[in-house]
Formats: sequence, C-alpha cells, structure tokens
Amino acid sequence: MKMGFNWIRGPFEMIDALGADVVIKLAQDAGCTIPQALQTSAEHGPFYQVQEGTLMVRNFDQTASQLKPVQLPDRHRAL
Amino acid sequence: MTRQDFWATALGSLRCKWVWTRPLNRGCIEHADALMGRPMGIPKTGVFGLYDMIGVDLMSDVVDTLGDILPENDVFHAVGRSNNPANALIDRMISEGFTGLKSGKGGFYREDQALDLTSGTLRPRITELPALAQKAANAQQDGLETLPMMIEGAEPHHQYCRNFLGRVLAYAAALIPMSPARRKTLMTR
Repeated sequence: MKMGFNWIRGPFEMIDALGADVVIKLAQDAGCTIPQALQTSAEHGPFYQVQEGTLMVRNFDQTASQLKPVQLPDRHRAL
Repeated sequence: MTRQDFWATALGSLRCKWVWTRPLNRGCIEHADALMGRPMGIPKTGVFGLYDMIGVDLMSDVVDTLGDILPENDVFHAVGRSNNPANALIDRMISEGFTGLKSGKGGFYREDQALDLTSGTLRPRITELPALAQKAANAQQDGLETLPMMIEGAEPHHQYCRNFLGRVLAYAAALIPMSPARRKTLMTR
C-alpha cells in the first residue's frame, strides 16, 4: 500500500499503531468477522517488532507467533 | 499482477467502495476525503479525489474485475457488487463523460463544484476542513500520532472513522494467511 497507493503506513503498521485489541473492537462494532491474523496479533504482539536492531515481521507460513526479518521484493527494495 | 499487487488492489478498492457506499454527512465528499486522507496516513486525495485521478470508469472496471475474481464469500462483494444501489450514480457519471481529471470535465469534483452523493446533484465546493481533520493536521505538524484521535470521541466523524478503520484493517488482516490453493486460484484466473 505504501509503494502502490502512496500510503504513509501500511495497514499492518496502522494496526500496530492502534493496537490489535482496539482494531478487533472496531471490526466487531462494524459487524466484521475477526480474522485469525488479528486475533494472533492480539495474543502474541504487534505485526512488526525491532529485535536487536533488525525489523522483524510476524510470519504466518509456519507458526503464527514466529517473527522473521522483513524482506521486501526486489523491485520494492530498489525504490 | 503479483500477489502483493493483487492484495493492494483489493484492499485499495475496498477502501474506496466502502467510503463511496457510506456517504458521510449527507454526502459531503470533501469531508470524507479530509478524514480519509492525511489524518489516516493516506494521500490527501482521499477517496473521491483518487477516483477522479484514476478515472471513474477505470475504477468501475477494477471493481467489476475483482468481483469476478474474488471468491463468493469475500466481504468485498458486500460493497463491490455490480447491483449496489450506489453504482447508479457512477454509471450515470460514466455515461455523461464525467470520468475524472482525464475527461477535462471532472468527476466527483468539477472546478468550484462537487457532487452531493445523496441527491446526485452539484453544489458549491466546501473548502473548510471538518474540525477533526483540522485537529489531526495540527497534531501531524507537531509530529504526533493521529490515528487514536480519529476514533476516540462521540461525534459522527469519530464513528465514521471507527467504522472505516474497523472494516478496512480487518479486511487487510483477512487477506493473510491465504491458503496456497486459494492464492493459486486467484492468480491464474
């Protein structure tokens, strides 16, 4: 969303800024089903975290609580 | 189109369609754009300004395409379906050539006028920012976080922002994790 739509923050950075618990309440009030990723963030922490100077992002390929270093696609890294 | 492009298009389109189908303050597109723009960390074009920039006709095609591609249970269809009553005005704008900036005639915004979504008629443009957007602009100048102030309050604009953020951010979160099977289906259509 930042590269393509020129958003200052991506949606998951926005969720982290508000807090997943707050976003869950907003989504519930709006009548939305709560996605598992939101629930996971509320239970395990933000989508993005800095660990020992490295920006980490929550990874859902294996276990939801796993954090991995942020890796942008090549075309985005060049921008 | 890559997976990231697809997600961004779906999310960006849902954001636009959600705002479009829920007129704020008797259809005041200027206030909707002021609240959905900079205070949210989104370009100041907001939603209706973005429609005009991209092209009302192109956005309509994007929404129709997403409607064909996305699974039947995707919440996008609630706002993006072609028989949405709000689409009548867009269809009329396209047929009359008001497809945005590229048309030279404008779209939602037309020189010193703007389209009232409720009545579908033109009226003078409103240039004054809503109080909440002005408050957020001041906070941004001071380097302060603005998202919480957009949702903490009892005014209709707070409620509008709560609903917007709740739906758009929940949709973003719902896009992950997509199962490999579903992802493959989407990208091969």
